[in-house]
Amino acid sequence: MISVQSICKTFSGQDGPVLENITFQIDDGQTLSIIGPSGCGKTTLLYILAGLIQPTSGQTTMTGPVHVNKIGQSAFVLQDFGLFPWKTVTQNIELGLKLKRVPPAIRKETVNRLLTDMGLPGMGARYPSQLSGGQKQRVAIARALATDPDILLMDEPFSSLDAMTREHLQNLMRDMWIKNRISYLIVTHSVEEAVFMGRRILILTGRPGRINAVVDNPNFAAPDFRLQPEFFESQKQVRLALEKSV
Amino acid sequence: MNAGLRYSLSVFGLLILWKLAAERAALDMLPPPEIAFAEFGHAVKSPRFWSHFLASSFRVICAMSAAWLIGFPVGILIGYYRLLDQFLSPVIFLTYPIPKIVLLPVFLVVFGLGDFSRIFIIALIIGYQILVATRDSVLQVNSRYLDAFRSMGGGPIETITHVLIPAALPQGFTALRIGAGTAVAVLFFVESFATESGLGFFIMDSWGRFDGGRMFVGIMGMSLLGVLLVEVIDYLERTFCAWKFVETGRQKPAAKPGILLQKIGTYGHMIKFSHTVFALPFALAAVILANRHYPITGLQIVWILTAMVAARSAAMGFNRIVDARIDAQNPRTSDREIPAGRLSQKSAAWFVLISAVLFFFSAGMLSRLCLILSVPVLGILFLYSYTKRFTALSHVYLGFSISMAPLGVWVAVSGQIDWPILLLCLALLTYIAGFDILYACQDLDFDRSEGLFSIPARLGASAAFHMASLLHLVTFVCLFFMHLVFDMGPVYLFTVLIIGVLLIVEHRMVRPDDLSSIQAAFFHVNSAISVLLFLGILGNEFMQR
Repeated sequence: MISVQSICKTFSGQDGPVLENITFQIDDGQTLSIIGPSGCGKTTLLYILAGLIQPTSGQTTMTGPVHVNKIGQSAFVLQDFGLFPWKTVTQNIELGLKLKRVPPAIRKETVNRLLTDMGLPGMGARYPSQLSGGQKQRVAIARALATDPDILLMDEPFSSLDAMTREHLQNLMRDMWIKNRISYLIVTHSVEEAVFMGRRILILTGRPGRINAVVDNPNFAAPDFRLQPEFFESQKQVRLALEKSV
Repeated sequence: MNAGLRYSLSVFGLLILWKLAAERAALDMLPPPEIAFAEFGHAVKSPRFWSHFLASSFRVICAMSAAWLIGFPVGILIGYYRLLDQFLSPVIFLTYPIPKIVLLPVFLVVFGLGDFSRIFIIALIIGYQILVATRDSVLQVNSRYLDAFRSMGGGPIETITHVLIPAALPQGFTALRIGAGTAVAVLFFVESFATESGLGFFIMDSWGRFDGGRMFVGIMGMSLLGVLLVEVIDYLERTFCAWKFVETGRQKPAAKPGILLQKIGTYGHMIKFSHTVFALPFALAAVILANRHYPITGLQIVWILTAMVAARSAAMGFNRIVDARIDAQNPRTSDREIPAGRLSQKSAAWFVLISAVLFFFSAGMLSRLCLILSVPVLGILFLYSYTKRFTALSHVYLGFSISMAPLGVWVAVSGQIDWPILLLCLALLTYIAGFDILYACQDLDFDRSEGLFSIPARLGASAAFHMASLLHLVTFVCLFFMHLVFDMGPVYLFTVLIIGVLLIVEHRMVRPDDLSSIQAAFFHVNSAISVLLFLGILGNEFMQR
């Protein structure tokens, strides 16, 4: 479970806070989408959750069913620059495990399993520059999953992909959630993506970022959700909330 | 135009300029290129040259290693640790513009006249460049990479090894490559006084003796050292920055000097350079025979060889361009350089043009008559590429165009056509035509389906084999009668006998229904036959003198 209690963040040298009084909770195996206008501090929030920056006030607590060590409880999937261009696909995926001193045999097994799961068999020896955009993001997800994290933090993971590939990866990601129930938090600026991927959708206001509304989206895991009336209903709610928040 | 061609073009241009300058100046200190190269060829056999070369190599390699081992790590650290940067960067940027070389006298006093001061000054100059380039590239690393790495739990040491070093290596290598040129230049300077070893000393010493040829040996030695350094650095970069050089499908990696050798290989492959061994011995045999009546200089042989190789390269390159479409459809040839995309049509065209110009140029260096004849000869060679579109006798035409080689040699040396040499030409004509027919059996079905003309396509494989045997019989008879015409003795006759046996062996190795060993038959047996003929004629000359 991840619990965020009244987080505020003010960067030194900037007037006014970036985030103000953010409180929410993600239970184990649950998913959350965060959407809001650009500059609402979505990425800052993710960095705080990942432990890369400290909030000015408030706190986050994470309690995992398996892991108790602080680092590695969460795993990041970034939009660009996530993969290291000088490392092959295999080296990228196993990097987190290597940093945790996991023995090579287990690393190899994990990499092979993830390559198969992600539909990337035989691509282990390639460099990121030899992959398409969709393949790169699959590798980024595989790398995040390699350390078996309690929660995936995804920062606009599919925004630089073309529409077809994006939908394909969204399906892949959600199918995996249905199978493994791994918690994730996705930051996006696409209403459709937010509704398709999140059990709940958090709508932030622009500067400073505040929670404007929370849309409940209980049917998001239904088969063929894109074609269900609930899909459009939830989108309508999100859009209305967004209009109010600008 | 791609890298390989640009390089050969510029080398060629420089040689011409050098030659013209040498002719014009007529100074002892500026020998023409062929003399300089001859002297260089002589020098590489002497241990003295190599002792100087090794002394210079030792100094420059020590200096560049030291520059790298200090400059690169310090650059990384300064780039990474802000505090270090704040204190060291002002020092570095204040001292960076100071020409370090002026400190050499100081170092010579402090560290003595030995190698250390000289290595130290080179390392100092190159080290600065590497350090600054490395620091800059660390500062340019996108912070998202660092965030991604930290989110995975990587600490500072691991950040350096997994992120900063690989990110900074390409620019570090670029600095090292640029530094190699500077290093050799500084090396020349520091070796030009107070020492008696190294190429710099060698050059200045020769200069002092007014020995222009020897001086150019030193200059070429230093150039060689520079080229070797750059090649080694390129090799290291390819090894340690492999990710920079992978084919992305969208764009090819940038052309760098290191690819030069590889490119030459690609062109050499396109024109089957190794197959020069079939016709070249015939041309050389003509040189020996002509030398009986007409004097030949070493320089003439150089131009004869150049003309032969250039004409052949032009003709083969032209053929590959003309046949690119056909080659692409034939599974046997679809992997050739142009259809496979390793060479573009355009670069191949440039290659042909340069080869043709080189051919005309070397013909012109032989004689005026040769220059005039070189134009129709190239026309004859180019025409071959079209013959298989209208006549099954294209094999004979191929033999005819290749038999221009010994004939051309004869004309170059004697200035006229004497009929005895035609016997050698006929031998070459039938020999080539015969094995081209055998070779064409591989493409029988393809040629038939494409409507291309060849003996096998027209008469069938077994008739083609008979025809080839007949042609090779003529070859043998021509070679045999040459001993009468040129008055040659038992050594030659014995050679011709062996060639006869080899021809029979060749025909036994392939059958109309089994062409599997045709490549081996072709390459090994044919090269043996050609080389044997040359050796036989050469041996005969020695025996008769």
